[in-house]
Amino acid sequence: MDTLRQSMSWMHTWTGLLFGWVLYFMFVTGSSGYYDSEIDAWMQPELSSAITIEAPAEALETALERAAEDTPGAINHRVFLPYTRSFSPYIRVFSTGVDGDGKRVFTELALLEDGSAAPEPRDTAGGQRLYRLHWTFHYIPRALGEMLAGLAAVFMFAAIISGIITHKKIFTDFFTLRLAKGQRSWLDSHNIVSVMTLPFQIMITFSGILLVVTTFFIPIFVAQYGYSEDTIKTVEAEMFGGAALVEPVGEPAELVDMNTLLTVFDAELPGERLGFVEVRNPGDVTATVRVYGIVGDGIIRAAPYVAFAGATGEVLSVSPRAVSDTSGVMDVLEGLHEGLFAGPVLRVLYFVSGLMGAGMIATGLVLWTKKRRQKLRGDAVAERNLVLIERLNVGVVAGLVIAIGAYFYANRLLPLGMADRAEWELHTLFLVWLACIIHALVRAPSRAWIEQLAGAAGVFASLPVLNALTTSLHLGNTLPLPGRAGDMAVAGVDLWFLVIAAGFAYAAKVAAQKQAAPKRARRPRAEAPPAPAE
Amino acid sequence: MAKAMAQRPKGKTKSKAGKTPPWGRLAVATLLGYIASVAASSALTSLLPVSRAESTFMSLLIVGLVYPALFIWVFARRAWWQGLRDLAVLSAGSCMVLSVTRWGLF
Repeated sequence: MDTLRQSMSWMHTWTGLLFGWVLYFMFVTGSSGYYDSEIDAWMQPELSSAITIEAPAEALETALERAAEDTPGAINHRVFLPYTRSFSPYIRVFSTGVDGDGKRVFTELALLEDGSAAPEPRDTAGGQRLYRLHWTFHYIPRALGEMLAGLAAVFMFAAIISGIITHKKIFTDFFTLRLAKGQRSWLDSHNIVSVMTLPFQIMITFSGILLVVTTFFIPIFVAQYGYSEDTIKTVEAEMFGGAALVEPVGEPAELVDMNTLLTVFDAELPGERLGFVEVRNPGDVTATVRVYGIVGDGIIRAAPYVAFAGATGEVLSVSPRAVSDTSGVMDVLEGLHEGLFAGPVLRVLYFVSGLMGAGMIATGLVLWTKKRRQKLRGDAVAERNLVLIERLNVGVVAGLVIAIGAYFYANRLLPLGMADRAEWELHTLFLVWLACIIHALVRAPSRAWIEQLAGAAGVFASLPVLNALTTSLHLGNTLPLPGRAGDMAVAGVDLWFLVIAAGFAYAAKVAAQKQAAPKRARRPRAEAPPAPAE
Repeated sequence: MAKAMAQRPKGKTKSKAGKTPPWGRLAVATLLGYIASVAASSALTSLLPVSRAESTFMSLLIVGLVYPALFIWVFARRAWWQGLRDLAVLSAGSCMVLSVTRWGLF
């Protein structure tokens, strides 16, 4: 009879293996999200650090006037003010209009405080689209990407729980690392990175499921609300407090002045900083204004807001950060996942834990092939499949790192005026990854590991050099020194590149030493005693 | 033969687990586990004295735990069809509860 531990080991192996490559991709690209704003700054060297808004009310009114001129007849305008680690150093205005065919048209403005156009940076996918890859996967529809991410997270969660049950000595494993012992070393490495970051892995996986829960578990809404044409509207109204859209009546009206609204916002939501303002039906007597706080200001991942009647300034509703206890718990878990609230030290821990999660998956994938190789027993088909997986492991694990390095290279080397430049940065990532996988398929795995690990080290070590050759925002200028503020966001990215390069250089050195070391002669097995006569 | 059996190392038992890919269990856990986790989470929270919106939030919160838990349940059973039977019963029972509490069928 299978024991529970054996069954869980079986489950741990196969649930981990089935989604191993997808999860590795999700962990690596997702970890980059903890430095998304810093990567944005590195990839847009033309932009300055975030501007400071001296008079927010006047800046908002000026931005709304510009938006009204730019997009007459818009359904809504959203004006985002810059703040530390915001997605843009300037005021950003997003407007939704309707064209002659009734289709929605989206426009975007980047402004300075006086309403003049902000400097135009290079077109780049930046840190935002890099980290969003971990649930969008870029080449598939968004809903499908969320479904895939959700399923992978469920498999990961099941693998984590079964991994814990499988462990007999989880505390001992925390302190056990036997180097140069073949399969045993891989097992110890897998255990140590898993156990060290176990609370993080549980939190990030469960909260990851929650982040896509409304897409992945959409039948829950049908189970609770039944199925009808109005289900979605009812869910939005009851659960998310979405105010019903009011059609404009065509009677023009001015918005009340922003100073009044911001004063009420401060009074209704004390301690909240101003994040952005949304105006629906601008210029009409039915206009509403919502003044929002900043999502990342608290551990609860939600933007509190005060809604006003645009023409009169009457308060329509106040939505605090946590609407209810349950949604508050969900928002806290989602806040923990994204880590927007984290300061510099916690952010480093987030990033390192994320990379250790990727290491956990990578060592698990390698461990599986090592174990299988011992059990081959001359099965030619199994050996062929195993060799294929060994080679794909190299291309997926080491190749993805090279591909992300190439993504940064593309940012500096693609012509600035190139059409669809941001898209081509992402195409570069996937094309280089494909090239790495092909390289791994045609080389012996032991050689391919050395070459690709060394390649990853070389690519990341040369990125600060490339940065220095192509921009003035290099370490010589960005490192803070006495008497010079520098730009730690950009310097930090260059420094991380060097740390990553050092890590992969060490891994390549270890792999090369292992390749060069003479194989230890196996001790011949003791002769089996002759079978006793029946 | 008896002597040969006696010479087997202690602690080693005959086990099917781990030797073959568990396609049957994975299929049951993935597909029926999904249905059962959605139904069970919704049914459980529909019994609580809270608003429908709050109940739905609770379902969304716990379904991420229930689904992986059902994976473990399916793998902990001796045969894959036992997991199939359990999840079918759980799904059917949950739908009966929902038909009373939410769908107004009875």
